[in-house]
Amino acid sequence: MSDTPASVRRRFDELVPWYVTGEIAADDRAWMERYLAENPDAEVALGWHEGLGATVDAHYSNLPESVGWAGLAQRLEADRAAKRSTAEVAPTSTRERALPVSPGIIERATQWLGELFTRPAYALAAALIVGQAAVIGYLVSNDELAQPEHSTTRGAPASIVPALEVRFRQSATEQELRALLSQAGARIVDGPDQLGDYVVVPRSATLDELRDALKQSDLVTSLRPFEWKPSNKDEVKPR
Amino acid sequence: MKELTIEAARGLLDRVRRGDETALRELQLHLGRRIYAFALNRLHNEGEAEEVVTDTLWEVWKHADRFSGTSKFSTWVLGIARNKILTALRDRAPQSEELDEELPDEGFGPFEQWQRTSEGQSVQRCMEGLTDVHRECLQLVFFQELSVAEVAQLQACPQNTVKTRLFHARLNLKKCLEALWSQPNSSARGRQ
Repeated sequence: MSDTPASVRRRFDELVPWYVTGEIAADDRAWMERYLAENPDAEVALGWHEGLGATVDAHYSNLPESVGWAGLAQRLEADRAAKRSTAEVAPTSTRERALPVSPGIIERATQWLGELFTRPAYALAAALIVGQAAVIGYLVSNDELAQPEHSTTRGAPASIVPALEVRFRQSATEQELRALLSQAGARIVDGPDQLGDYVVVPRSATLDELRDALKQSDLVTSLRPFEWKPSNKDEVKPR
Repeated sequence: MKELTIEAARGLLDRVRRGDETALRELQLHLGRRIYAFALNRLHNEGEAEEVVTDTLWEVWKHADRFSGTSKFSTWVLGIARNKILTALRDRAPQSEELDEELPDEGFGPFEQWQRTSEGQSVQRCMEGLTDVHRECLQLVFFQELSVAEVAQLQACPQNTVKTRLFHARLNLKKCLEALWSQPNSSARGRQ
């Protein structure tokens, strides 16, 4: 099909903004230069776009240069403070371990304990305290054994939890996402990352049920298995 | 707007990975305004737009190794910003805003302050009359200097849609300018 003057002009109109900014493929640039050479009146349109580009650029260049830096500086400072406090704990404890304990203190403690156990009333009270501590310790450990689902949240090394990485339709609203995840029995544990992907885990469904439910939704554009590593602060109750 | 080369971006990100805070400052100086303009166009709220700048650059600071170099550095960063903007819009309650809904902007919003200042005030005023997506398209092409493929990627639409959006944006701008300049008391007749 041969090009009509209208379709040629349309191509020029489509390409001219990128010709002005230089973000154009080499063959399109060559075509534009030929067109401009053959159609001097097109220079007017080119000039208009150059003016528009300069104005749009000036329009945004008036924005404050330091925008966002105050927030970043605050976060850097918070990060540094967190690192400092971590660093300070370790050397202190090392130093404490390295320093010899004053013999005076040991002597005084031994003497005090010796005196304590020479008095029957104090000895009985001390025995009671030790006994109560043992009973409490036993009950606590039994309680933990009876509720293994909490063990992942109590400082144990984080294990891998089967999850799904989901990408939602760009136009999906927060309400729609919440409704879908609630219906499917899932919750978001991470995301969105820079690609817009969320990590979700089953809450009241199995992983297979969750996958099936999400697959059927037109809000979901991609879905894949994901091995999620929760940090200790994440609460997970795997089914 | 000068684009960082891939090599320059990699150099900067290497410094970021080593915890060099001056590299983060350089990134902010280079990209802060671009991210802000991008976010402000959709959020219409200066505070939220600034937070998007902070969140985006903080993510770059924390995950500098995720830049693969397959796209322009600014496109990668604006992609992160886009997701922050989406999150900000979704966090708003009650939710009533659709990102790709082409509703005319009724107010002059945050651009109003710039409108009064420069010689291109007519163009700026008319830009305010464009829909968010059309104005964003203009901004991505002329200010961010992205290619049609990059704009399509950021606007999550086909390249032909980008061309159509830009075509309508320019047409509406032209109509608006002609209407403004035809007014007898128009003092903003700066550009032809």
